[in-house]
Amino acid sequence: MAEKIRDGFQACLSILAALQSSHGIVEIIIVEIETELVELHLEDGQPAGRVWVPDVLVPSPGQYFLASTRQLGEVLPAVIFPAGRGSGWLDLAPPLPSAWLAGTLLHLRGPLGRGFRLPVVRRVALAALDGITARLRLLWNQALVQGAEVALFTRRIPASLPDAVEVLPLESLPDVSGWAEYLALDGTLPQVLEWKSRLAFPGVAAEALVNLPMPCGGMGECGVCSVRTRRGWKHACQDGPVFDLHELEAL
Amino acid sequence: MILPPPGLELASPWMNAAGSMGFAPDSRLPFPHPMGAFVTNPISRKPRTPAENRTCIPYPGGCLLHTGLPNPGLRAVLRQAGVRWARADVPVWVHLLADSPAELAEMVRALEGLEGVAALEVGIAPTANGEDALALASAALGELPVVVQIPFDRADEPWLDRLAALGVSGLTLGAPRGSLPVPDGRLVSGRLLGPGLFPQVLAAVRSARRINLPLIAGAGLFQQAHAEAVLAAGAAAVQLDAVLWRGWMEG
Repeated sequence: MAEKIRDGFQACLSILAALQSSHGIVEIIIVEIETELVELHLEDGQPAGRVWVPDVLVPSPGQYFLASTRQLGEVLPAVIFPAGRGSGWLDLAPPLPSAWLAGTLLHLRGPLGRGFRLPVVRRVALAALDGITARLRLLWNQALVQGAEVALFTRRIPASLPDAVEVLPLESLPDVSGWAEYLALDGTLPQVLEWKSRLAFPGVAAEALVNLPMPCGGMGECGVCSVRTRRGWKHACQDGPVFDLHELEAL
Repeated sequence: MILPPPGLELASPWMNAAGSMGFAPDSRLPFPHPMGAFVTNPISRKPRTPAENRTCIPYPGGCLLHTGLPNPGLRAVLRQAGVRWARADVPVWVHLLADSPAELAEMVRALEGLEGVAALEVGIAPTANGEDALALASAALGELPVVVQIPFDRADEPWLDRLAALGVSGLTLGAPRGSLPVPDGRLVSGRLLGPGLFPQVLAAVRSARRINLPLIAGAGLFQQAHAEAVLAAGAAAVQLDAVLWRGWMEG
């Protein structure tokens, strides 16, 4: 992939934000790239894919990208979550826009937002409330690397899953109370709030990836992704899309 | 083309539209040309919470965005963004929302003399009639140049012909409003964004040339050629909205 300095929108690679660590090492946190969708496949019954990316791009589980094409058609950028990461490539979780084909050139900005903050624990429960498990893949991989036991609650069994991840029906999620030391939910805001009201998990670290439209990616503070929390209104695009589950309040 | 009056001169005709880039300029955010001025998100005197039914609904050629124009209120914005306005390397136009002339006059007084603030853009509510709109425009007049913003589909209304004599410095032809059904059968109304609006905004610019004010085309510009076309048709400047979140489309 060619890399050059951004000129207006004709960017191939541009570093939009960076942090300098106390050791003087610059950590790149947001990039803007032009890349190609090199692979397209079905996952959880919906289109997923792979793009080439520079190695400086390291999303945390739960962070997202805004992706758009140059073609007339989709007016707003698509919110895309990473589902896997390797040297030079990034897997994109479903659903991708149906108009995208293998070879489609994408304008990608990210990683954006606040992702999951997995504590060092022994037992991790993950729940895909809307049936899409791929958005949780980076998280279960991180939990396995930390040596944790992982239980995945879902209505749909993913096609590829490490043997170490135990799959359980979503309806049995309330039974996780007392076992899990960390709980992560992933779904729409109504789904997350409904399950929050059904679960009792005092003292358990719990987070939720709230799947909302985030068309501006934090750039416009447009407010369409506003989420009500105990600390007031927050923007999912900037303050989320992962929130402390205990902080979320009803609509 | 009518040129901007003293105090409203622009180094470049390229601007953002209110609601597209937040409350203060951020040089890290991509913008396709040198920026002539930065327009803040809409600001009201008191805080506004997000609309209960906030949503973003795509349709062929555009999308409907309904947010309720949430903002923390003028006092909080001044506290959070005032310093950044003063330090900005572009002139800041503060976009104001007001329910009454008295409320607007109070906000205007609070902004006069602030470093970095070059102009006020007064948003006219979609339901306001001509006399109410003129009363609002009059209330905003003071030390700062005033630009009135209307949905471009009101460009033919006769009351606009009185703005120049009133002392208004410019007219922004912004996003129109529309309605779409949602799955439960209700209608949701909101701002319309997208390239499908371009023929109408171009026609609106041509129509509004009669009013002898500098015109700013602020909707439907998703291709660079389209933005250049409205400039050629007589607009003194253009304001980009959701295209900033995704990059230019290619025709």
